[in-house]
Amino acid sequence: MTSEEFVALAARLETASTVLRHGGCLLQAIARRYYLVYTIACRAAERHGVKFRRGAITEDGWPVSHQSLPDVVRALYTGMNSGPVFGGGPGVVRKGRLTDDAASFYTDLLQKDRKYADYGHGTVPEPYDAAKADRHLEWANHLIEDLQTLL
Amino acid sequence: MNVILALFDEVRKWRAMRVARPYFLSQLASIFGEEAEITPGDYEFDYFVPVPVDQLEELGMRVSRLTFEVQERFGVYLSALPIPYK
Repeated sequence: MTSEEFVALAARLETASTVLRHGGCLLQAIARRYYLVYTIACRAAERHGVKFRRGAITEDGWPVSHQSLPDVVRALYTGMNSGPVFGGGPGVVRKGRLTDDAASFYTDLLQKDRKYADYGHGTVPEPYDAAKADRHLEWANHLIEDLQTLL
Repeated sequence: MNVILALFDEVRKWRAMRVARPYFLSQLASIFGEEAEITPGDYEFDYFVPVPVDQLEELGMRVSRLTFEVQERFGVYLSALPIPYK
């Protein structure tokens, strides 16, 4: 992905998330915000040479799979190996950053939110009320702010 | 050489999984109760578990913690997706 493509994708996801939140589409707002975390993490992983160990599964055309994103995020935060992921880069050193465990944990929860949003799991259109949805968006925003320091 | 290393990895994972899976399932049962309908998942999740929608966030967090604990203890990834219902 070129820099221009990355900037355009990030802007598209950010705008979509904001518009959806204002329109009351809470789960889809979280899902778009999760994709922004994913996009930034992929970009940072590429930049800092974060790689998979032998035998790990990756999706075609993307450097990391969604399933492995919590490990990729932890590897980016610490600059060290996490699960099947070889760390790289300086780690996140921003003041007020999430802890390594929290970053990985929130990424996992956001990934599941995205699946509720897009895959049709469950019979409830909006499983979170506004307060809970905003809390999840806050987690995503914190991850985004931290990971952006690695770009 | 790569084929041998990959094979070694597979055997190691299989052996770890034999211990990790019963532990994961017993802990899932302790989170959701013995009567919970834990069913096989899809290609992304190992298991699905129905949960009341008002407990989704809390139980989802406990499941995520369990996944991380199993990864830490056994070196394998096992996941479950709580499915919200009213």
